[in-house]
Amino acid sequence: MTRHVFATLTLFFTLIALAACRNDATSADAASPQELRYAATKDIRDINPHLYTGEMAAQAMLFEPLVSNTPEGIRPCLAESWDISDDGRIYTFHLRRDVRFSDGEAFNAAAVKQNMDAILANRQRHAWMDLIRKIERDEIVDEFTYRLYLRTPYYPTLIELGALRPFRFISPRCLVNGQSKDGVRGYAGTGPWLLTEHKERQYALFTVNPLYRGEKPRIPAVRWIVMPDHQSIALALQKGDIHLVFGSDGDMLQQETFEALRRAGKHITLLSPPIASRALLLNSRQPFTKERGVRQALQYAVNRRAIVEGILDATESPALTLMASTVPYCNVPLETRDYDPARAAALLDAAGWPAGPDGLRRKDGRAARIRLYYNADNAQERSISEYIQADFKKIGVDLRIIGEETQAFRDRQRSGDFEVQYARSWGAPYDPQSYLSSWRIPAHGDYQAQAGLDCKPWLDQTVTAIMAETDEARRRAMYAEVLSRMHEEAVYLPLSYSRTRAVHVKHLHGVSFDMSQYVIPFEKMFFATGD
Amino acid sequence: MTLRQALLRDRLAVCSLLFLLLVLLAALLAPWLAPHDPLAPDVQNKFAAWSADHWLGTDHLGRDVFSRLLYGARRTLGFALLTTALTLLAGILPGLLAGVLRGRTEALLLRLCDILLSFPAEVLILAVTGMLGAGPEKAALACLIAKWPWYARMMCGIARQYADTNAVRFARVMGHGLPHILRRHILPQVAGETLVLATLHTGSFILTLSALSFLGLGVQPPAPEWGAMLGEAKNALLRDPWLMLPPGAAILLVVAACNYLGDCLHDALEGRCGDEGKAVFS
Amino acid sequence: MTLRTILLHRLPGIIPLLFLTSVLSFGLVQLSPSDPAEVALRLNDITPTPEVIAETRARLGLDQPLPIRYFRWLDAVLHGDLGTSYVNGKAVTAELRQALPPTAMLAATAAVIMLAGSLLTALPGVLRPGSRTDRLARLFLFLASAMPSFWLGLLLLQVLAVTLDLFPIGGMDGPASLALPALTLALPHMPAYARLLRAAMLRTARENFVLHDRARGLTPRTVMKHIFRNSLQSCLTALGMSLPRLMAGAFVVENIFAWPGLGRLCVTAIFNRDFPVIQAYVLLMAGMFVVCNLCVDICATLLDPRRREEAAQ
Repeated sequence: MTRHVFATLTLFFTLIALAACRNDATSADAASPQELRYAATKDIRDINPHLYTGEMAAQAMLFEPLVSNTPEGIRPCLAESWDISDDGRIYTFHLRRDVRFSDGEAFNAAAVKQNMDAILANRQRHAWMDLIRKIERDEIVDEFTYRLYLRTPYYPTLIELGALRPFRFISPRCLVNGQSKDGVRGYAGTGPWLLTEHKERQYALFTVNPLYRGEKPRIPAVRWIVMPDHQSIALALQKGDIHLVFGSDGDMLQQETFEALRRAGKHITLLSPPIASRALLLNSRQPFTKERGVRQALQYAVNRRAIVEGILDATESPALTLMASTVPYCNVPLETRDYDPARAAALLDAAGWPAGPDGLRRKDGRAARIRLYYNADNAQERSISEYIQADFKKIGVDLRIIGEETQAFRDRQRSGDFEVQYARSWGAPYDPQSYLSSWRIPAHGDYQAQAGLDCKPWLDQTVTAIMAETDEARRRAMYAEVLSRMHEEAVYLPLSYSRTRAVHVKHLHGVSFDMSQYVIPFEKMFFATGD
Repeated sequence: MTLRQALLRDRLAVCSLLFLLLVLLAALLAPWLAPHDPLAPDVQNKFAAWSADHWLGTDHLGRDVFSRLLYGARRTLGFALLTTALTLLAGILPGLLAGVLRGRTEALLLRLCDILLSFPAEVLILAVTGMLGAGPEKAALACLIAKWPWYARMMCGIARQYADTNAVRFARVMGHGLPHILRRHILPQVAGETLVLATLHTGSFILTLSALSFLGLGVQPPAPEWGAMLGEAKNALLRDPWLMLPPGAAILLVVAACNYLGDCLHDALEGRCGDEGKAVFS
Repeated sequence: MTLRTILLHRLPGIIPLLFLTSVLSFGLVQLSPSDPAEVALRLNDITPTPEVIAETRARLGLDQPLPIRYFRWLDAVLHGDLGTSYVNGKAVTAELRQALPPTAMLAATAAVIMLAGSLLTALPGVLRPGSRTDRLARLFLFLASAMPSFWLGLLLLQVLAVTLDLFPIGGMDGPASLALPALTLALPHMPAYARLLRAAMLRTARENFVLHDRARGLTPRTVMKHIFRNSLQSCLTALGMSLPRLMAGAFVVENIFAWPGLGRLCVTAIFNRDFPVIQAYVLLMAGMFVVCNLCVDICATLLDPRRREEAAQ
C-alpha cells in the first residue's frame, strides 16, 4: 500500500519537474532570434489612434503624424513641407506622394481630411489639447495638399500635430461611417509595423509593414508580452526570457531592479536625458497647505539630493524648479530652495505654526497633519513618500502616506481630495505648452491644487494668452511670469527630473530613446551576435 | 492544576512558552532594546549587509531591520492579540447566552454560525475589506466578522455543558436571573480555559492579519509590521533577497510556538491524547 | 432514494442561504461610498454636475426604493449580468470569465498536491505510529501549519525559480508555471487534511469490519485497502470542499506569482474601490460554496449505505 502511494507520488513530482524543464523554442537566448520579445505591464488594448485607450508606444508603431517632433525641432513626416500664413492662422501641408496605408489604400489629402473630420467629431474628448478648439475648418486643396484654418493664431500648432494622439492617420477604410470615436475596423496605418496578432492580456505580435515607405526595420517581428507584475518582468529579464524592457518612472521597471541589473552586468542598461519633471502638488485648497508660508516652508524640508542619490541611485537629477532650464521657454532665473530644515522650521514658526511639546506643530488647536497619496503600483513613489514622511517629521509635520491603485489615484486628482499628491509633467514635446494648458482643466490634480490661489483666474487667462501669442519675445516673457508666479506660490514641490530607462540583452543593438518618453523606437533595433 | 502539569511535562511546550514571553518582552521593551530608530531612513546606507551596527542589515530606505523587527513585534503581536480579544468578546456573549437559554435562541445562533462558517474566512475578509478599504482597523474588523461565529459556537457548546450542572439547576430553581447565573456560575467556570485557548489562537490571527498587511490591505507604511516588511522585501527581491528572511522567520516561529502551546493545552483540557482532539481549523 | 428526493430534502435549506448571500453582496455595493451615477459619468468623461447626476440616477434606476433595486439587480444577475466595472467600464461577467479558469486550474492542481501530500504524511501515523518517519511527518505538518504562505511563496520563488532556475518566475505560461503557486497554495492546507485523514483511518481501523477482515485472514495489504477506502468515505465532505476552499484562499498566492486569477482581480479591485467586481467575486465564491456543499452532500449520501437509509427515513 505505502509503496503504491510513494510510487504515485514520485511519479507525480517527477512529472512536475519534467514540466519545469521547458524546451521553449522562442527563448530569448537564441543566437539570432526571429522576434524581439518586449515585456510590458499593460496590454496594448484598443490602439485606435484617435482615442486614448491604447498604449501609446504601440500606437506610435503603426500610426504616423503629419510632422514629427525631434530634438532638432519640427521635422517632416507624412507632410513633406508646409507653409504658415503671415497671420499665423492658415497652415498648408504638402503631403508625401509615396505613402500607402498597410491595407493598400492611398494616403492623400482626402485621407487626411477624413481622419481630421473623425477627430474633430469627438472634440469633447480631445479638449485637453488646445489645438482642437482652435481649428475652424480644413480643406483639400489638391490631391496632395491639405489646408487647416485656425480661429486664432496658436503657436504650438505643429508641436501638437506631431503629438502621439490624436492627430495620426489611419486608413479611411478602417473608419466606421467616417467616425473613429466608437471604434475602428482595423489598424491599417502608415508606420513601419503591422499588428498581426493580438491575444488580449497575453501578447501582441507586430511584424514589418511591407508597404512602409522608408527603411524597413531589421528585426522581423516584435512580440509585446503582457506581464502585469513588475517583479515578473524583472525576473524574466534576468532569466533571459525577454530581450527588452523600456519605460519611464516605475511603470515597467523598478529602480531597485534597474540598479540590480546594472550591477550584475549581464544586461545593458540605458538612461535617457532628463525628460520630465517629478514634483509634489501642495493643495492650496486644503487646511494646512492653503497657506503660502507653509507651502514655501515645505520646499525647504525635503532633501532632494538624498532622494535622488539614495533612493533613485542617481538615475534622475534633483529638481529645484518645476521645469528644467533645458525645457523650451523655461530658462527662468528663480530663487532656489534647497534642503534647509532650519529655514523650513523658521518659516513655519513665522506662519504661526509653532511646534508643540510632542514635536507636532499646531495652530488654533489644529495639528499639522496632511495626507500624501501615491500610486500603490509604483514602488518608487512609495519609497520616496516614506522618505519625505521622515523629512516632514523632522520639522514637526505629520504626513500620512496612502497607496492607491491607479484609478483611485486619478479619481482623487479629479476631486482634489488630497493635501499632497504626485504630479508629473508630460515630458517633451508636451512641455511646457500642453502641460501648462492642462492646468486649466478641472479634472487634473494641477487645477485642483491651484484652485485655492488668488491668482488662479489670472493664471488661466495668461496660459490661454500665451498659446495665442505670436511674438516670440512676448511669449517668453509671459512664460517667465507664469513660472515665477507659480514658484512664488510654491504649489509645486519639485523633486527630480526623471529619465526613461531601458534594459536589454547584449546582443540587441540600436536601442535609443525618442524625444517623447512614451515612444519606443523598435524600428532602429537589431540583433547582432558577438558583442 | 492539570494544565500546568501537562505543560511542564512537555519540554518543547515550556520552550515555546518561554520563547513567546521573550518575544512579548522584546516587543514591550522595543524602545530601549532597538539600536536604531525604526522609521529613520538613511538612504546612503540602504541594503546594508548584516553587521555589528545593523544586526540584520538595512532595508530599501536604509532603516535598521532589527529595530523594525522589534517594533514590528509590537504591532504584529499587539494587533493580533487585540483582534483575538475582540473576536472572543464578540463570540462569547451570544455563545454563552444561547448555551444557557437553549431552545430557539440556540437553534437560531447555531444556524447563523453554520451559514457564516460554511463560507471560507477568506471570502468574508475580502468582502469586508473590499467594502471598508485598506487599513489596520478595517483588517481587524474583517477578521472579527469572519471568525466570531467559530467562537460563538464553541462557547455555546461549553456553556451547554455547564448549564447542565447541578449548581446551575439549583440556581434556576432558586429563581436567580440569567445575569446572575452567567456571572456566578458559568463565566468563572469557562473563563480560564477559553481565555488560554483563545490567546493561543492568536497564531492564526497573526497569519491572516500579516497576509493582509503583506498585500497592502492592513498596516500602512511606514509602520513596521512583519507582513508589511515582507511586502517591502518582495519589491526588492532582486536587489537583496536576504531582506525577506527576518520577518518571515519571525512570523513562522511565533505562530509555531502559539500553535504548539495551543495543541498541548487543548490536549490537556480535553484530557486525552491522540489526534482527534486537536483543533482542525483554518 | 433517488437524486430527486435528496434534492427535495436539501433545497429548502439552500434557498434561504442563497438569498442571504445575494442580499449581502447587493448590500456591499449599496453601502459603498461611491455613487454609481457619478462613476458612470466619469467613465464617459462627463463632468458630474448636480443636474446630470440626477438625470443619470434616474436613468440607472437609482432613485427607486431599495427592494425594487434589489429585485432588478437579482434579475440581471440571474441573467448573467453582474454590472460594469467602475474602473474600465467593462462587463464584470467578462472579467470573471477570464479570471476563473486560471484560479480553477491553480486550485485543482493544488488540491491534487494537497491530497497526495496529506495522504503521504498521514500514512506513517497509521502504519507505524511513533516511528521516525511518523515523527518526521508530524514535524513537517507542524511547520506547514505555522508557515505564512506569502513567505513560503517568496522563498520558493527565490530558491527554485531565481537561484536554481528550475521554474518560471510568475505569470501563467505553460504547465511549469503552475507548479510553484500550486505548491505554495497546497502546503498550508495540508496539515488540517492530514490530521483528518489520519484520525479517520485510525477510527476505521478500530471498526468491526476490520476485525472481521483480519479474522478472515486477509493480507495486511487488503485490510489496509479496506481501511483506506472506508476512511476516505468518512472524510469525503472535507475533501470535496477542498477545491472551493483552495480557490478562496488563492488570493495571496496569486499576488505573489502574478497569477491572472480571481483573487488577484479582487485584491486589485479593492485597491481601486471597484465595488461591482468585489461584489461579483463575493457572490461567485459564496455561490460556489453553496453548490459544492450540496454536491458533496449528495455524493456522500449516495455513496454511504448507512446515510442513504437515514435520509430515506
